[in-house]
Amino acid sequence: MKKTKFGLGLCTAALVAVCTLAGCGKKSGEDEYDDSGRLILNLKNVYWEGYNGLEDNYTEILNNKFGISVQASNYSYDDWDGDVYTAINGDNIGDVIHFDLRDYNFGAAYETWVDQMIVKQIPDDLSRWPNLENMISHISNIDKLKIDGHLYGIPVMRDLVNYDKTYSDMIYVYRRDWLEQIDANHVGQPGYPLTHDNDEYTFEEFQKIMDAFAAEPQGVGTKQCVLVDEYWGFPSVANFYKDAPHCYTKDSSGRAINAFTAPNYLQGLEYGRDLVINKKYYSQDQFNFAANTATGYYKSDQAAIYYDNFSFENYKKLRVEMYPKVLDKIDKATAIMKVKRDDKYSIEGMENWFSMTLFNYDISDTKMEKILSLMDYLLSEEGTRLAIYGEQGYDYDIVDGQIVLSSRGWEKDQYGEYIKKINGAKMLRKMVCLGNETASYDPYTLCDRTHTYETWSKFQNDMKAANEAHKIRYVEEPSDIMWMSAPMKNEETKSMLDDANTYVLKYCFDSIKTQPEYLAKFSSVWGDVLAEINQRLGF
Amino acid sequence: MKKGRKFLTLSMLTPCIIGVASCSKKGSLEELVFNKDNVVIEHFDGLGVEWGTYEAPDKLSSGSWERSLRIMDRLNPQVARVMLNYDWFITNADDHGDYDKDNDTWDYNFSNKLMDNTIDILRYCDEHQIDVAFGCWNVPGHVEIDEYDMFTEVTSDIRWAKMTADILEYLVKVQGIRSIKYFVNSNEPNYTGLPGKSKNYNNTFAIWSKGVKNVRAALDARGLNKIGIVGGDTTNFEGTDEYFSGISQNAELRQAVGDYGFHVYAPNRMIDLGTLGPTIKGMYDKIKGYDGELGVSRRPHIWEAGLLDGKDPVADSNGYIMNFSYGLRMADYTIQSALAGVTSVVYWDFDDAMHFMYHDDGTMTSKGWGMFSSLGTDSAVKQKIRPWFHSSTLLTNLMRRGSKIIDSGFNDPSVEKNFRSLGVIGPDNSYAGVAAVNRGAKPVHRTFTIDQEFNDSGKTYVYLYNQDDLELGQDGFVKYNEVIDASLRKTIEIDVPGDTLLVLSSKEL
Repeated sequence: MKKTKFGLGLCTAALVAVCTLAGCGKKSGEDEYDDSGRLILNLKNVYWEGYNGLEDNYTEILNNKFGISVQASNYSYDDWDGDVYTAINGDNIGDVIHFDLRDYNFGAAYETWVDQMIVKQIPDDLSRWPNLENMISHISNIDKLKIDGHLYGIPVMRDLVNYDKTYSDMIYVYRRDWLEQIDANHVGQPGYPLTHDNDEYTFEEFQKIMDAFAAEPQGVGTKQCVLVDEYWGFPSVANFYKDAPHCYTKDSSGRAINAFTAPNYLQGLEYGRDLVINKKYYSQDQFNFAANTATGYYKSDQAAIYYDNFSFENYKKLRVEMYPKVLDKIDKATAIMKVKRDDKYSIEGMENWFSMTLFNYDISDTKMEKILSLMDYLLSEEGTRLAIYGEQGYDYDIVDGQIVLSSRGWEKDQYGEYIKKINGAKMLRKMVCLGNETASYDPYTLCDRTHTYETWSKFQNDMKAANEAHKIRYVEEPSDIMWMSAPMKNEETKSMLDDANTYVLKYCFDSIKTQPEYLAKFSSVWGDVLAEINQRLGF
Repeated sequence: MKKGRKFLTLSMLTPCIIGVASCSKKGSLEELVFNKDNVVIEHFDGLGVEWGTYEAPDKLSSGSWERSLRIMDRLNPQVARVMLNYDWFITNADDHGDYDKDNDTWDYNFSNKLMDNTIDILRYCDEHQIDVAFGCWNVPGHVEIDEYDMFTEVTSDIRWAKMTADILEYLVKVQGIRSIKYFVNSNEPNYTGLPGKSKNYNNTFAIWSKGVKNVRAALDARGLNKIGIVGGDTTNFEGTDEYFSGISQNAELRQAVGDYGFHVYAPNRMIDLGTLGPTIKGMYDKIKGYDGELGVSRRPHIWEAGLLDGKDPVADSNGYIMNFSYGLRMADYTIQSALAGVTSVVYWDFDDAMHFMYHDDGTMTSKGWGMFSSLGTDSAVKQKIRPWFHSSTLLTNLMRRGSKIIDSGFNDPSVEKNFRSLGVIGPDNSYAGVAAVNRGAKPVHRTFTIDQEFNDSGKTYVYLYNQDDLELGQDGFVKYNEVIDASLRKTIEIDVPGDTLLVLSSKEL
């Protein structure tokens, strides 16, 4: 089927915008059915590595329940955006798009796809899918995602229970075992011990700890650097100063300004530069870090403090990979470090959703309804049980109201951990929810020799309490700018951000020599885009 | 292995009762009789294992090759799949600066450890009468680079057929290898994957079919017409159905292939509930409707057999591989497949040290699907022979090439979901045996009778595979639990423990 997506104007988009699923009834996509008469769904998601929908029983249960035949494939995480654009440009979308919808591509991608009739509007009335409707009602900034009052995709909720969590897990872990060794080397000396039992430190203490790691590289591991940041987070120490993580922030008058040249940011930048150039706490290789290089440093004992996005999955991955080497010291080797400056944690803000599942404009209403029904079911109690425990009667039974896992469905390996099986329901649920809320009862999580969940959930509770006590300083872009669509902003923000990150790296690693030279790098485009934003903000 | 559980209640029934049993012939759910009316396969092709070229021979531990051969001796397979990469041998590739692939030239350097290892494996197969499916994983080229410009046309690229013929000619005519019976026209062609991650991303059935015809013509032109081409080598039922349907309905393609070959990584549940066999049988019957030679001149083979559950897609390893349950399920898998008419099953795979995952950061990790590991860097636990080697050994030594495979007539999973069995009459009626799995947790009482002529030793060797009863000899290999002075021609009565593979044989396996 050939599409004529490009070159369609806003008038068409406007026509689409007033359509509802029931009323518009566009059926340009031809539904295909398998030999059993089930509607074939071609679904794609970035989290589905190794899952094709064709082999596991759990997908088959869903296929039979909904009269569908799921054929699944995945995007490459490393080139997610590229894969999506390739699929769109190659007219090979499948039935859904799973997209990393960020502020910088809201206008450039999402809004454009709506205009060009690449993505299909979801029904305004979702009452037939109450679980889905309920979830969407809790999505942060949901109104900002609507175009002319209509939604064109399902934001993927991070945590169905903790809706209020709108901050990230971008934090430090550190080698507490090494720090304790340093303390042991200085028993009774002033300023020691440096280690705090609760892993909570002031910014000043954090700096002393870095100094101590730098001063005693021997005998506390083979570290090559004190601090390592995942490449996108450099310099993480600037978080203690800056107001926004990306291009835009506001000044005291509410006007949009360049976040990379804002006074607070420059202070943090200078501190990061000092750690690179003078103190040499960062590795000189940090300049050229590729994805996952930082974690490689930390895992191989080459760094004492490590900054990354420690979602549960990421944190568990780190611990699982380090466990064979450190064994029962895993908690100390991957301790989560909580650092406050001016009595507040500086944590990057984050929507309570991550990424979006969008629908191919050409799919039939019937197909869209099937997919929405599937999503709704997977958010239900029964669907969640299928995703987490498997099939009742085979994988588990309910005895006296309690879930009892079967030994046949839940077999353990030599380490006493449940052996992983592909569960299509769990995979498909990621079209609507990342499932962080299920970690507290997921058997895989609870039966884990690294006991990651205990540590991670304690940290979550600490942060929740801190948030409630207003002890978190959100580092975030104002939402009215973040989700603002304006022609120049849409066009330029991504390359502006890339350029700014390059200037930051170059300045910290001294290939840009002075701050004036750094500031001069920001071209006139920044001024033009900020003027456009400010005009829309009413200035 | 732990010992101590009393598992058998072995007794010969009286001749009078035997007489009654013989009269009824049909048996029952509890009294299983294997008679000529229920022969499923007249000539089985044997069981085997994937034994691909070791991709990093330098990583093997000292003395491991000799140990591997001892293990292979005991496994005693009759089929093997041996895969390699052409990249290892191609040198001096020259496209002569034009787009005409027909005038491209290249040389081969076969003087390296990888070819040495390939030839060692193939010579072993020659000496042990092992039928080999030999093939190349994918077209040459680095997955990110495509330096030979082959990823667009994949195996339909005319150079692929030339390379294939060159390399097979070298092995057969120069090295004198006799065991290669099939050529694998790329691994799992229906798994296309993503550009940059898979060389196969552009493949289609049409492209693969064209490649098969090209290779067939090239092999015939070199006098290698006895080497068949695996018809499919596809993975999962959906993709296999597409390829099998396409092959079976195209006369030219039917003639070009030598078998219907596929891979099945089955979910535990499918095996546990006995639905694997009926699923395969459903596909088999459908294809048989298009191609009457299915099962006759074009045999159905499973060239990669394994469990889907437990698969770690990043490491390409299986979490169940060290557990007893893996062996029990693979035995069940084998029984169900044979009862569905599949004439050979090749287990994935022999040794963890053969194949690797190559990661973006330049590191490589071994694929953990083997019966043991001979990697020097692996722990002693990983190097140890795994339980599923022993269950597989029992079956490879029981279900020999030329055997008859007999259904008991009571394997319908809708009637009996926890117990499955088949009878075996060895080639030329040289022996007889039974393989049965009790997939329930509790012991069940069964009687077994082979109601056919065979060269009767008057003894029955009893082998039990489960966590408590597996018996290993001083050599570390599986041995019988007991020998009964009674014939399978008469009736053997046994309490089969739960979660157990039971093998009975008139000869020692």
